[in-house]
Amino acid sequence: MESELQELKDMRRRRGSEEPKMDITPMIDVTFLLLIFFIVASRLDPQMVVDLAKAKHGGAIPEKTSAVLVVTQDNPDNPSIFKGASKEVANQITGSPEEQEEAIRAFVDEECSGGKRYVLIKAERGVKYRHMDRIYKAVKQGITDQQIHVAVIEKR
Amino acid sequence: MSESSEEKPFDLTPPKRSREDSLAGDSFAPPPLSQGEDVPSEVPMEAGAETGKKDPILRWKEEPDEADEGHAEVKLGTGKDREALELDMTPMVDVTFLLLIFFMVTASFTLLKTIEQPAPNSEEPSMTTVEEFEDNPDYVLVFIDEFNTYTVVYGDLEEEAPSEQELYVQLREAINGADVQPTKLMVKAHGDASHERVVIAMDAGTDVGLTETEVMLTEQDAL
Repeated sequence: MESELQELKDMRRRRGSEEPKMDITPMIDVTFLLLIFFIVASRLDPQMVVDLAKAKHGGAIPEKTSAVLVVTQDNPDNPSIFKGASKEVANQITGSPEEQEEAIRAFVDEECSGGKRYVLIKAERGVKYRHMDRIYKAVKQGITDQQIHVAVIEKR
Repeated sequence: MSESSEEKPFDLTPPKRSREDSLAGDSFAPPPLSQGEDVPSEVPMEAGAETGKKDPILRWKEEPDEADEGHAEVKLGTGKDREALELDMTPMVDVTFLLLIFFMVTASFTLLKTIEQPAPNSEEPSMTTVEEFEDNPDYVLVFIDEFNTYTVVYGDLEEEAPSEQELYVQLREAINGADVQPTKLMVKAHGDASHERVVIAMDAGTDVGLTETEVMLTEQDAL
């Protein structure tokens, strides 16, 4: 009888010493899922980085349906203009301002004929408005009913 | 069978027996030892007997742990053994969270925030003069000079706004002091003004309720 009582006490002691453990497996599953999503969805290519102007208001357009131009202020008097979303040298539009405007018009015309609905200009914030105006006018010559959008980043 | 069970063959009550009786009559219990019989000191082994090593499966029967206190309970390992077998996942989870936070912060998605740029009307110089915009109560004029300084013009109001905050203040003053609520913003930017300043002016106009925006390039140093 005493041994049975002792056994019961031992069982209670053993149970009490075991701390309740939380099953963290689902949390790790979700964490890995999110990690993989962000690895796939994010782009760490430094060529994509453009120092955009900040704005509170504005909409969002999908980049897939846009003809993208990148404008950087490497040279304040003659900013670099790139076709496409990255600053690859192969896509740079070179030449005189007139040749650049003609190349922009041809690029936008070709992209819009292919079904693009927007022209997205990713311009660095320090680019002089004189050059931006020149680009806007060249883009306008290449579009029919597409809208011109300027990329910005969220101002908090 | 006891006598009572013979007299009452359908009695369902369990027979009252002592613990010793039940052990003696239990077919699964080992047979009781006779008085002269010795308990074997060693369990005979087949493979381990020659080498002198005991079979590890049988060793627990002979050498019970002190912690067992005589319980005939099979233990596969001590607590320490079990802890050693468990993989510590804490560093992996730490690294995973670190990577997750890094990618969440640095992620740039394909959906970009944009503002619509009003297309320039034509290559030719506009026939509408600045004075006409100044006199039009539907327009608030914001001039950005070559030093990126704003000047807000509306009716009799003409105030410089060197900073972005000042621009918001001046625009709100212009709208609040108006008899007719203006709805359009005309941004007149100097060629040397930065693209960022034009975007800020357009954004400020939207913020104060000027829904339509037009942008004009000028090479004049002043209004």
